[in-house]
Amino acid sequence: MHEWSLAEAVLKSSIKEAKKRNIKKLTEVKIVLGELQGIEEEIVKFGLDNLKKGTIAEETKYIFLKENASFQCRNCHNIWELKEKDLGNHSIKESIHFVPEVVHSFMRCAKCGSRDFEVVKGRGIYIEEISGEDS
Amino acid sequence: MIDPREVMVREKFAAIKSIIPVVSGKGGVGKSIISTALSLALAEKYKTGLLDLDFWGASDHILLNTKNQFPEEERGILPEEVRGVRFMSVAYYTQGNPLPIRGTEYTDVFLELMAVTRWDDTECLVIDMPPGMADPFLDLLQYVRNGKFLIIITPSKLAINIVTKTLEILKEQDLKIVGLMENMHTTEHNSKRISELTEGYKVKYLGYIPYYQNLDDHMDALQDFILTDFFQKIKMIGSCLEI
Repeated sequence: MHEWSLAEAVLKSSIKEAKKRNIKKLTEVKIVLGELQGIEEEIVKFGLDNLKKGTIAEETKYIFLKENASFQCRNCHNIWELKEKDLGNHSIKESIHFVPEVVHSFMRCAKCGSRDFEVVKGRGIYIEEISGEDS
Repeated sequence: MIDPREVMVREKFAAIKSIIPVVSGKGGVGKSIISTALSLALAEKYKTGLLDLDFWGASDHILLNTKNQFPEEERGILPEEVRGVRFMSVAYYTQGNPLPIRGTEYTDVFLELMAVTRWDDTECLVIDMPPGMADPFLDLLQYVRNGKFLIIITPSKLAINIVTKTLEILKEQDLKIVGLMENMHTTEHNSKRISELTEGYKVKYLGYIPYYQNLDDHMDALQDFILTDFFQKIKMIGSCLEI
C-alpha cells in the first residue's frame, strides 16, 4: 500500500510541526484528500493508528476532508471539474493515484485540446491544520 | 497548509550513504546512458539504485528494458530490480505518453516519487538529472545535501561553457564533486580547455570515454550492452569513485 508511506509522511510532518509550535501533545490533525489522487481514507487512517503509538500523536483524532478536483487550461482558460470518465481505464487511474501529475499524460482541455492546464484544487494529500496542548 | 512529503523526502535522501547525481547542465552529453551504465557497474559491488529524474525525457527504462507495468507496492513503492539495480522512474506511470508539465508540477512529481519510494538499505543511489538549471536542478540542491556530484562533459566548446556554470553553482554551494568525466572523446580537441576547467575548479578529471559510433546497436539487450567497450570503460572509471 503506498497509502502507508503517505500516512507515515502525515505523522512525521505533523509531529515536526507540533514541535516547532511547542505542542507537547497533538490532539487533532485535519487532512485533506484531493479527489484526483483517489487516496483511500481508510488505509491512511489504519496506517496512522498503527504508526502513532508511542508518539505525541498517540491520542490524536484524524479528521479527513475531501476536496473535489478542478482544472484550468493555461491556454484558453477553460475551467472544468473532474468527471469519472476523464480518468479512463483502471490502469490510468492507478497511474494518477501514484503520481497525480501524470494526469497531463492522459487528459486534455476539452475546449482547445491543450495538455497545459493547472490542477487548481483537489490534487492530493496535505495537512490543513494541526492542534494540540502545550503541556 | 503542510506538505507531508517534504519530511519524508529529506529523510530518505539523508539515509542513503552515497548519492551520485549525474549532472552537466548541457543536454545530449550522455548523462542517461552513463547513469544507467554506472548504476549497473556499481550494482556488482554495492546495493545500488538508479533514479531517473529526467521526467520530460525519461529514457533509462529503455536501456534497462524494464518489464513491470507498476513497481510493487508494500508499505510504499518498491523499485523494480533490474540486474541488481533498484530502479525508479516516472515512466512507469506515464505509460509511454508525453508528460508536458511545468516547473512546479515537476517538483510535485519529484516529491511524490521520493516520498513513497522505498530505497531501504540502498548504499549507493545514482540520479540521472535532466539538463539545465531550472526546477529539477534547484530541487536537487534543496533536498539532496549529501550528494557527490558527477559532472559529464563533451569536448564541445558549447558543453564546456555550460559545464563551467554548473561547476560555479556547485562550488558556491559548497557541494561535493566526485569528478568530471569526458564523454564522446574523439581527438585531443579542446582537451586544454577541459584541463583548464578541472584545474580552475579543482575538480578531479576521472577520464574520458571515446565516441562509440555503434553503441546504439548494443542497447536492445543488457547482456549485450555490458559487453561493450563503453560499459567496460564506465565500469573502470566507476571503480575509482569514492562511494
